[in-house]
Amino acid sequence: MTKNHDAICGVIGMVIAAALFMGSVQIGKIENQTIGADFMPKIVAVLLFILSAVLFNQGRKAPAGQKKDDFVHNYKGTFLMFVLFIVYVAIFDTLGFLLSSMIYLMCALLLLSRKEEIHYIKFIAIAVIGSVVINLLFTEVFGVNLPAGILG
Amino acid sequence: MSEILTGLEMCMNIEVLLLILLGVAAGIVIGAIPGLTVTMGVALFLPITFGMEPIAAMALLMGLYIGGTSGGLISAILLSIPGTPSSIATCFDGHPMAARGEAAKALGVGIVASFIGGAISYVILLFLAPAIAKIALKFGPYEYFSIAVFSLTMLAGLSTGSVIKGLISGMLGIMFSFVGIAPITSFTRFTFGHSELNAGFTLLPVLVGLFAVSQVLISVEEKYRDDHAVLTETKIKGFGFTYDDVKGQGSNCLLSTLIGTAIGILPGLGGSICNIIAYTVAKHRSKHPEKFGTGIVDGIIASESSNNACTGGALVPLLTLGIPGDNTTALILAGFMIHGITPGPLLFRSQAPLVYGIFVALMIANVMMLFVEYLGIRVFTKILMVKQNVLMSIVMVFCVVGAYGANNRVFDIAVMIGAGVLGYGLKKMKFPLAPIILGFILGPILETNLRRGLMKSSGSFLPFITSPISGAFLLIAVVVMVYLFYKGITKKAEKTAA
Repeated sequence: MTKNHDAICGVIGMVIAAALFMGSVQIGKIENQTIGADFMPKIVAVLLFILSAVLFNQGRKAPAGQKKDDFVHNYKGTFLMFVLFIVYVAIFDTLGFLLSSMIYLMCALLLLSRKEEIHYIKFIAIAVIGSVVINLLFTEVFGVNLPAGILG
Repeated sequence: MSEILTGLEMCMNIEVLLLILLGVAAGIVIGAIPGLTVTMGVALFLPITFGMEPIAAMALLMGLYIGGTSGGLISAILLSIPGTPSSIATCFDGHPMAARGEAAKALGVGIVASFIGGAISYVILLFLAPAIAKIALKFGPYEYFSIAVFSLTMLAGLSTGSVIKGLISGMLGIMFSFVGIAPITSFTRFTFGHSELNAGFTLLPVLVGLFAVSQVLISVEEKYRDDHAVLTETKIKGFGFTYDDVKGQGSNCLLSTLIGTAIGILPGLGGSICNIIAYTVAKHRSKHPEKFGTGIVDGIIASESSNNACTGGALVPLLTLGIPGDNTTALILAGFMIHGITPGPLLFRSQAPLVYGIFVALMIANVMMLFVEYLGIRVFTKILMVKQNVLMSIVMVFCVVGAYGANNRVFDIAVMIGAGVLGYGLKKMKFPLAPIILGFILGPILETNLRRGLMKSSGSFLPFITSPISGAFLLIAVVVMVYLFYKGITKKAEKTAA
């Protein structure tokens, strides 16, 4: 990561610190108490602001130097994986663990594989067997209650 | 001595030995799967112990406790995902070693370090438990606050690059611990009207998110990268390492063991932070601190010897005072109660044979852990033969189940994913992740004890300095910070001169 990114992180840190401080002001208080529930958040907000300011300063002063990686970054895939996570959480309760995990596993395998690694039949088998085995392991062996969803 | 022999006699029957083996093996598997913790393992096996003899039940639980704590090193080394919070620091050097084809060596060193750490701490437990418990009893809010402050100074040492980034990560961790009901006054903070946030964030989803989910995102981003960890060691001799590999590591192992034992004794701290502290101390003491994080055995030894030593330490207050230090020991305490064992100062007199039987079971479990993991090295390393795309997809499902299983709610999965995205972003910006966990655990300890202390002293900060133990820890914290600051300045001066 270049030093200029540190400056950006510094700014983000300062914004978070300011938000934390403002949020702390609204915390309820008991009269005549030395320190209340707002004390520690305020201290951390101040420290975070100072540290972020130092990071911003360091990042601003240092020269930017981009070190190129010798592989292509798949940012689109990362974003799609993030979307897949959200979809997985959204359908987890409704469809149940088994079905949602099958869908997730199939999509995740496609996102994580290079073109030459994609074998649909193999992936379907992994998604189905993987979900069933994990479901049985946790519900039957470990006694974890997983949502059955529409299959329940 | 006669009590020890009686304890040995109690454990030397086939049923108890098999139960210890079962506990150790199950514990290792549970510890190795990201998302499953030793606490879950003990909770799972506790009902099975109902019908057993007390010594048999305790033997099974001790096996689980030791196996589960040690098992975390497997996924930490092979996948860079800590199986349990106790093996966070094992990732730092363990995975780089696996990435360059030394997975078996890293695992072997970790397993032996776990064994040594455990063995020494059990000896300490065996001979000094009641005396140590008396000292631990003197720790009040002032002392706990100061220990938390001292532990926080370790944040600065955790960053491989920028100290500032390590400290910022730590502050973020403390910040996340504020969410929910505040200690002492019970005001809700930063919940934004969501009732799910009232209890705050649970450690497991945060940990799994930061380390595992972020790793899955990195794997997608870097799927065209060719230098993933591979299995190059086809023939593994012994534990996979030679004497030369670990030469000169004795003091590192011993000091880390003592750190683990000491932290384990203090309720509320535990294995989650002792591995990080031992790693940081080893890094500062080292003649080559710059090599930490690149894949050296020093880091694995520090982390693994301390986390298993912590198990022995945690049993000191449990057995002698009846105080559980964390969730796992709380469940073990429940196991004691179920079998009519009341831990406390009188336990060593009223049920001496059983207590020493538990000590012996611990030691046998430690040897069995060494044995099972020794045989397992050849199997564990095979995980690296599984393609990264399949491995990461399946790991994520385990993480989802683990996060869900923490409280049986989908909200925790969402927290895990949020933590994962944060972890991904921070990794990209070269922020260390371990300080977030350290801050997250220490935040409530720091705040609760500061406020308790101030209530006790009617608002005066003076007792935090004048109390001898508290004052000593605060002084050490100041010395560490001054030393780090001085080291930073001299390093900068050297760079400028060069």
